[in-house]
Amino acid sequence: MCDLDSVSDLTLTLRMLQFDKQVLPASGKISTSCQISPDGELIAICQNTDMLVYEISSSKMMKLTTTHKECINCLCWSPDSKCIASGSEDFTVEITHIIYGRIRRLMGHTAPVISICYNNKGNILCSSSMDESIKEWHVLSGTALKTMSAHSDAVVSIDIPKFDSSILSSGSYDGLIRIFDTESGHCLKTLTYDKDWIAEDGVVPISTVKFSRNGKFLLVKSLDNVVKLWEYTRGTVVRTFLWPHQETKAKLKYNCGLELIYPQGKDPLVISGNDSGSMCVWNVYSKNLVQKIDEKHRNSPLISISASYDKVATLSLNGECNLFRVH
Amino acid sequence: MANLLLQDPFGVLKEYPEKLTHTLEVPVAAVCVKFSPRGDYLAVGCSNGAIIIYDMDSLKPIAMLGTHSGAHTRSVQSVCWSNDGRYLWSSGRDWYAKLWDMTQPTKCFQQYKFDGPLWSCHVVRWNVCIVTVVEEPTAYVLTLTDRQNAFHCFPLLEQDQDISGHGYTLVACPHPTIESIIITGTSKGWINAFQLDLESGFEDKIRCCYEEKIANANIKQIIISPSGTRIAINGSDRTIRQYQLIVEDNESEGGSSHSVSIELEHKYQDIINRLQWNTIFFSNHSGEYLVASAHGSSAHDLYLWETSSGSLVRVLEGADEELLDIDWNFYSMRIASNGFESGWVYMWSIVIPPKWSALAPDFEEVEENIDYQEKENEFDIMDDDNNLQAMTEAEEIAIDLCTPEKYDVRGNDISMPSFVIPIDYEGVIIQQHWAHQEQ
Amino acid sequence: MSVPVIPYLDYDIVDLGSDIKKPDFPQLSESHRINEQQYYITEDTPLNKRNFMYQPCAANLMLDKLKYCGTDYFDKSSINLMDRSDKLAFSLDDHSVSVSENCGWRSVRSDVCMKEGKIYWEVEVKNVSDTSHIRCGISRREASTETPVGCDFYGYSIRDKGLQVIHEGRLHTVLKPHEMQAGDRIGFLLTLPSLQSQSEQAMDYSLKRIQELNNDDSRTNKRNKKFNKEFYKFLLRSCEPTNVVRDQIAIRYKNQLFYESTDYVKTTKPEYYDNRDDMQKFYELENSSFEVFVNGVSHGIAFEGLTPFLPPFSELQYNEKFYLHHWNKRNVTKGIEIRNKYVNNNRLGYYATLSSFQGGTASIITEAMELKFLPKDVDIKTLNDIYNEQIASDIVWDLIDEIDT
Repeated sequence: MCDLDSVSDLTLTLRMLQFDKQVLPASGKISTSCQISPDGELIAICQNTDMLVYEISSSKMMKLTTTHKECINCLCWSPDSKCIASGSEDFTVEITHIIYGRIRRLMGHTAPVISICYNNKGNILCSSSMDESIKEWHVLSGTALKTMSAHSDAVVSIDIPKFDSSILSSGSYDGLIRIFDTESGHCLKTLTYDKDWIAEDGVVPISTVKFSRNGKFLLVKSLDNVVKLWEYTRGTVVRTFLWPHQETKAKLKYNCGLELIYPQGKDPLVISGNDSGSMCVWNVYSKNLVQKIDEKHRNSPLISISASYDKVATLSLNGECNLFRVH
Repeated sequence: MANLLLQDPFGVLKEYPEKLTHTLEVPVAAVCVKFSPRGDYLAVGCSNGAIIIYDMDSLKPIAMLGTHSGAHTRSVQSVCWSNDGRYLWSSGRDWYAKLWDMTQPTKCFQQYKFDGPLWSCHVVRWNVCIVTVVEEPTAYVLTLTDRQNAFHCFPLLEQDQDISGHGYTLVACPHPTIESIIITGTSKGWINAFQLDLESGFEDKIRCCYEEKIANANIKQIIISPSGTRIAINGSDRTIRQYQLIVEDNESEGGSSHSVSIELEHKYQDIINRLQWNTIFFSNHSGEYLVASAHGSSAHDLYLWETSSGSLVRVLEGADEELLDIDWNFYSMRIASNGFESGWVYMWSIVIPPKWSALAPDFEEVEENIDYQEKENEFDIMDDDNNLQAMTEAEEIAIDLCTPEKYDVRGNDISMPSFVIPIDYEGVIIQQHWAHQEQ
Repeated sequence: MSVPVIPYLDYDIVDLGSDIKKPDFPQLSESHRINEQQYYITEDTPLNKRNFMYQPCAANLMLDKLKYCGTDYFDKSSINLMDRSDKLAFSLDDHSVSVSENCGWRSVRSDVCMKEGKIYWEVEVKNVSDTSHIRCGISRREASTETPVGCDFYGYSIRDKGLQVIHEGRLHTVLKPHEMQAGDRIGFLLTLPSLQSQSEQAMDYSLKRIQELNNDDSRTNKRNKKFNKEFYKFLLRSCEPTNVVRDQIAIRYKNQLFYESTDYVKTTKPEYYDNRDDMQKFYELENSSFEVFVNGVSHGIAFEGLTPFLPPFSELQYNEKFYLHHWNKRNVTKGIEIRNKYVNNNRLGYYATLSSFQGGTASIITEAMELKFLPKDVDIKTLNDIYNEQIASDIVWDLIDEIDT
């Protein structure tokens, strides 16, 4: 761990994230997700029912249309960076190849699809929806493999560790964080209580879940803007990240972005956005707040953050997308 | 892998699977089965020369080898994967040994024609394979020295070694941990162990470090446990002989040389029905268990013995027909075996029932009812101060988000990346196009 | 809408001169013994649960339309045999209560409802130890008898070892500490403002809520149900804090007669929980206090500013959907009388409550004669005084109801 981190990180003139360029200006269209491809070359941004693909090196933008009938809620790149899966308000998931076009249309959910995630081999796609279930699809055959129904409210975020596809984590508005076995579909662990077990005001809806790179820890953000890092095998919280100067009962109105960044040779960072467009960056190991970015995305909720290698893309609800580089 | 950490350890650490869980209805009769090293894929060699790759996540076929060019034209006798899961070797009755690259499964990467139908092929490295051919006195070493070049093939025999009277070499088995040692068996019951030098030009550096006649029968199969300490030999005299395998390293000029010796531990025979054994396979690590399939219309199960005592501990049931080839993958703890009549592939796995205690953070499964004793402060809300202190202590623990685990709960090495067969998007597009055309 | 009154059976009518008591004292079964004293539980009386309350009643030939009137088991004020948990047993000798030694917290309320003025009573501690505990205090109708008094918003109590005060489940050290022992007399003095001022406070509160409903543009809770503002405004407007409306129905339970009526329910997150400054004056009854004495010596004021209980601060168990539906149709079809949930059924107030844990035993002393340390203040009433006033009040309302029907 670098010694400089133990000195007040806010006074460092070398900031962790430096603004690189604006990818998209604010548009009037609904944009809820931006994702950098796993190979770090492209950024996909959804806009209504289309997807814009931005090539970082050349700054060129390409538009991919989908056959969704209503706006797209979430995007996910396949691990080989060739396809983008999109989940939509129209209850379906589509897989679009960036050259060939639509490969698959997956129907089965009975309510808008909020979150999707590929497994590490790219042959299975998982989707979660407001219909309180999580479905597993086989990409090649386009069939639904299993459905996991273990929540009592919209499942708003799912994640699979990058190098281990045996588990899937889900976070839902019912306040539960669950871990499932992707092979059998069984629930393996629950980290929080739901309102049957504790007083209703002890339950906070979960907005995002994200595994660490080694799949041993789970980063969870809830709608009270508190970010916690769980060691899920033990069921304990090992780090808590609080937004500076926040009132205790503040609630977020949107699922604002959350991401883990792994700068080369340094401690990993957590970056989280709030509904006024600000972002905070903490050092995961020391919990120090290393940076606060207020000047971009003014007054529009920070809806999505995506990181790959040394690049971080941020998107606010008004459609503005910015690219940062990690130093 | 992490799912194993969260499940009931007794279930996860079971040493062998017990329940027939899946049946793959292979359209053409399967002859041999092989899991990829991590258990993600299953290669099925068929009687018409086709090799189908099944994806174990969805249990659906995802690739067929050789559809563009280079498929076998006769039955595929054996298939084996390279250690990283990227290459596949296959041997067929059409006299060819073929090497397939999974980045392009539809075209055969390289092939070599022998002088007769092939019995089996066994991989040593991704570009080195031991092949046994019908009616040949020795096994052959097939290597690909350069990606562009064709194969280089030479017999597995020490120079000037006399093997007349040994019969034909039927089977070979590379040592799992010492890659320079290969053990072969012949039609007259002779076992030879050879030491290869894989680095330099091979032919003159082959040494025979063991030679013995162990039976008056064909040697049908030789297997070695993953730790390299046990060896089992299936003979056509209806006996499986289990030995302790000892490889000694003798330092001599020009590098190390090994000497091999075996000591008999048990013999397995079906005394009642006098069945022939089709295929045998060891369990993980030092081979505490041995599973075998039997020949004959009355034999429908796989037999599992405990190798330390030699006693039968389990019979894997479910397939209602004779079973031929067996493959056991230790990462996914699955046994696959193909049926003789139907040609389907049966799979046995460990079934772990769902734990209801997983549904809430502090649920626990208990053996009997515990009468809850209320405390005086049962209904009192405790001060938050204590909780805060415990919390801040917990948050000082050192953590590491980047370093992955090297081994899984069962002791298998998971640090090596495994190859992912690329998804055939073009195939999907073509399929959709045809479906669209039909409408 | 009036529910038909059940007819008399032969044995209901008892001659005024006979010895037979009506109601029959309930059948008892033995529960456990504490220090050689036997404790009993009832076999055949309904207990107040599921938001229903029960009172023994008897046939009354003088009430032609009502036919029955309320009655009681004991001649003087004591614990209410129906207002307790089924595991809480009592002794016949001195009406002390306890649970058995392997049972957790259970509570019982007295049968007297304290509404205004100054009331004093004592609790005699009979058995406390390291494992047996009691808690005593006051609670409203909404507090459950399956929990210790003071564990929620509706009760105030003190602990036996240390005399900490307990409200909403939280313990605080406010009083001079004391470790209770067998034989101690713990005195309680409850001071409440007059019903008149409480009623004014309740009416003010109703007006405030009506105003808020008028101003509020959208009132949707999590499940997006439509919140019928007009209906609530109607309920609040027709709420009369001191008018007594009783919905008691005579029922037969195991060959005995009881009045069954709806009880008050816990209101989850009422608006005035939200700590708002302009609602501050509605959180507390002015000049109310709860003082604790140990063997005649005051140990301090445990609580001040107790929560108000008159409607609309309390609400009855209510089938909202049913009444909302009929209220929506009120101009179209007549017939159903719209009941209000903000209603006073003459049983709203604070009750002296005792809780017992693993054999902790105590009794409530209600009569002036039995009290050892009654303060010399003319305004102070005992529980027995209130009890008689309560019976008189019930009779008055019976007559009013008889005439009104």
